[in-house]
Amino acid sequence: MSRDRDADPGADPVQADAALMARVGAGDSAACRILMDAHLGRIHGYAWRMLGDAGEADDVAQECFLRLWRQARAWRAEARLGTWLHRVAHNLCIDRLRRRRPGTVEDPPDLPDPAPGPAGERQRAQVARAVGAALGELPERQRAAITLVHYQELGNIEAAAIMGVSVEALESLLSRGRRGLRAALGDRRDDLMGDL
Amino acid sequence: MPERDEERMDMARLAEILDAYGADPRRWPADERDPALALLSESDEARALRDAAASLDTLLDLSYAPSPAPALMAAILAAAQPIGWRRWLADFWPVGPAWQPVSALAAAVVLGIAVGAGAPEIVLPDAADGAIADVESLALGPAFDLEDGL
Repeated sequence: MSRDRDADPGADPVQADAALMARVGAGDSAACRILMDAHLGRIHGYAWRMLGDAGEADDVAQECFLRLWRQARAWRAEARLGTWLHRVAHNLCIDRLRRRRPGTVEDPPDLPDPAPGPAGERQRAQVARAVGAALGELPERQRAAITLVHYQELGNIEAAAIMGVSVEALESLLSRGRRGLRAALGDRRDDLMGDL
Repeated sequence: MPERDEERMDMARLAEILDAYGADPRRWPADERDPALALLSESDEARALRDAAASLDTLLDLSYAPSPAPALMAAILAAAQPIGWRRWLADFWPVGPAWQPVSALAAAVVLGIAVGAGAPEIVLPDAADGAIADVESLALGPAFDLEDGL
């Protein structure tokens, strides 16, 4: 798990991000690749968990990076790139969720069908679908809190900043979200887990 | 020792942490991690709470997100490259956004036109020839005649 608080204390990640952005601003495609390798999967994953749709996750991830490229020449060493990207992705996801028709029941996230293979793989895919569906049924702020802390592995202060809430409010969202997940999945846990 | 008491965590707070952040200490608030681990090491009740939280974590950990497609990566990379006149401007003005020199040039042109159009018209009077004659007479004298001087 790579986390800010566990990073090398001698390194200054904000300055390192700023140096990379300066290279992006100068048209250095290698720097762009470094940034994409570091962040695209995480940002795409966040959007996918929030929206439950691969196409929309693609759109959000692309928009985040287009905005990042546009910021490159004016970037100042004031924030972590990962935090900035998550904040943009979070806002884009919330905008999309609020534009959806009220009362629309969200489909479970569209995971690829499990390929024929070992029973364990099929079981794992089944659990993934069930967890995705349970996450999708949570209110958007609870889903965001759990996704940022559990899946994106961000610290509580950073996650709260991304959502624009206090740490106490984040903790409340996390508690309610996990309670909702336990209610949705708890009774089926043994069936879902099978031999895993 | 008061310092030690302040650092201790009670069971209620540990339960809140497990309820919110789950069983993995790496997800806990950084400033409460050590006291929480200390309580876990000495309490069966605390360990039971942690195991209950770990049960949900195990399910959550089995959920995975799809990887972004190579086409998406290619599209994002392509958007990072300046094309055509944008690339030329970037080469011409590498120290900042290209709108800066373009705006300065446009402002200079507008200012030049405005100054030219708004300046008062200067008309030279027809009497200019007379003025020149006056200057000659002052220099050479009113009655000077080349032939008379010889």
